[in-house]
Amino acid sequence: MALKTSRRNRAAASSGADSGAGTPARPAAEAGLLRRLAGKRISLLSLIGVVGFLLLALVGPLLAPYDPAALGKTSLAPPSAEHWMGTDEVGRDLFSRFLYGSRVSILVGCLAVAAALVLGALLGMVAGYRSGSTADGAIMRLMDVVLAFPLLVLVPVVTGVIGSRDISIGPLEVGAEVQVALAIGVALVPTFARIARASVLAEVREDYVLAVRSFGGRRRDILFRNIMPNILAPLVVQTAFALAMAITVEAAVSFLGLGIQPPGASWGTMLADARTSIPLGAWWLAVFPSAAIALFILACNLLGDQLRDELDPRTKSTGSSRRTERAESGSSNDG
Amino acid sequence: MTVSGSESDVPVLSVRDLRTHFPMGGGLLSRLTGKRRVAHALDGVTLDIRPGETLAVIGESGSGKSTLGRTVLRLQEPTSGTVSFRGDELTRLRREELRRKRRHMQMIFQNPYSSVNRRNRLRDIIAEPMHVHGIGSAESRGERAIELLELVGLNSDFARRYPHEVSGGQLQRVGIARALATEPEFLVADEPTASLDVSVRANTMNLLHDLKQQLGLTLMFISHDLAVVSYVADRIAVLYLGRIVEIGTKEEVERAPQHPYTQALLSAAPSPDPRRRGKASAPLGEAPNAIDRPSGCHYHPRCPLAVPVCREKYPVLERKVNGQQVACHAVPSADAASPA
Repeated sequence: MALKTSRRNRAAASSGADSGAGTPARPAAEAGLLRRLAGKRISLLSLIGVVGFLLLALVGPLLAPYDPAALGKTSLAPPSAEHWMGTDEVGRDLFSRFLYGSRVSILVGCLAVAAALVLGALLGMVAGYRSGSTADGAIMRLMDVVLAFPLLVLVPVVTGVIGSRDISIGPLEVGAEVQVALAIGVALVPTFARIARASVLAEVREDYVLAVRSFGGRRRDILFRNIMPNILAPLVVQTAFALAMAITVEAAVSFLGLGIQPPGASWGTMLADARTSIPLGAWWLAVFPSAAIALFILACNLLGDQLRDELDPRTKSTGSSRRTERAESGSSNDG
Repeated sequence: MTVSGSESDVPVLSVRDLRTHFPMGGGLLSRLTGKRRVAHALDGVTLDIRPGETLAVIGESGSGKSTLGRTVLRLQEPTSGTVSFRGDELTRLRREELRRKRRHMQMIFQNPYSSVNRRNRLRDIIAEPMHVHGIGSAESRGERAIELLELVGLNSDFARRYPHEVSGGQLQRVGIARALATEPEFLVADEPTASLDVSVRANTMNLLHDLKQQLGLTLMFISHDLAVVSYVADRIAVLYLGRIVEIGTKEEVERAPQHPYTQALLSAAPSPDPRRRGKASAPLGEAPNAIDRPSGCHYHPRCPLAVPVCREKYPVLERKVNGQQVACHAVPSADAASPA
């Protein structure tokens, strides 16, 4: 017992020292968040994983040794110095396709989550602020309708409705990837809306909201200047989980041939291409995209867990809190 | 009172027959039978506050004093009755008109920690009322925030701090500075010292009192603490279950309380004056309940002076012999020839 307490004190003291300038440990500002995440092995690894994949999406295609669509001489060549991940049935370089495909998968995932976050948070905040109103009822029932469809049904249906071909809105060309992303985004909106609504419901009862009203704050002052910063934490946590979900859905939908269309590459379409070649012993076709999906999802989920522990201590699970404690006292020894 | 008195200018705030009722959930049975239970937080309050005056509203918890403070600022919609601020009927204003009016009437809250946004620096907390009313540029608001910090006795080092980095007393000063940011003429202070350490209460009260004098503010001061009230108040209104039972100048109410409830409150408060001791009236006993109120005069079950009529009829608030207005059957009226 005594040992435990001293550990906790030490952990508290070290995090207090980290944030510096006499700031008590409790709500250390966002600036300290990255540093705190980096101080723990698991969260550091998950952070590196997620950031690494995002970098891969941005700069990957620049590193591609071949044109991802160019047909090569050797088909179904195993990984070698020349073709790091081997080649596929028609001799395309798998490594190049993987780099291009990663960009598509990750950007689709990010765009989907961004759309869901913005739309969901907005709808949820309005519903929560005017809870019990017709608007609240309409918004949340609509969310229930969306939730009632399984993700894997909803996304192909939405892409089917907008048709997965390029649409141009004025000078703006909306590619098939964007449409898939938006379809996935729609499916993810209800989770964000529910979290935002529940958080707003808790905040509007606080005195500070009454105070803003008392000195003449408009609804937008109350919602965006005051409530929003206070409900960001659970939304940020959900963003990490939603990113993992979006990647899974994109892969599944594209695997089924309902998402990204060939010859475009994504992790899902690469797996679909691999299907016919696996019986021929071409394991490399399936292994690399599968590993990427698994690793990315793992990194996102771990990061989400760690973010929750840092940002939302109320829902901290006992297991991870013990881990946190150990990691923090470890970091204090280092420092 | 000022209802008829005209020696002073127009009241800053006029409240007429204000009622605020809260529907209570109740059980399934009471909802099916259509008997919605209602809490009568305010039940016909009429009062005026003159310019530069401090009206203290006192009462125990559940008396409706906080509801009164919120309803006069229309932070809580009244069920009926009117509130006029400088002749403008607040209860009739549209949302945007009311919002602009709020610049001139501000509130100080009981708990300084919960009434500020914990993510903002003190400077931004103080500047926010100016921001929402579009007063000045971001830069001039920041300068004014520092002036206000100094006005409430905090130096400019506090500007960049966060609420959790300062003490309750200091944060309450920030709350006062924020309330003064838009140069209001009327302030509602809802138990501003109740959540503070006893050691800093006096400081906070002194500050509020000085600022009031210096800036010519009109104040509604809500409290359950008579000792605090007697320091700042010009007039005192005693609230019991949503109604004013006694209202008069501080001297009238403190030296010669007429209503048995006021007497009980005064005798319950510790007093350094030995002459007041031993004059204790009945103990206050069970707390009142705004949902199931006693018939007639709501105070009669606890009242040592209760007569049969008290069970039947609620007494009229009228001027009594001592000068103040009292709602009690047992106290003789000023004009004994025409009892209400």
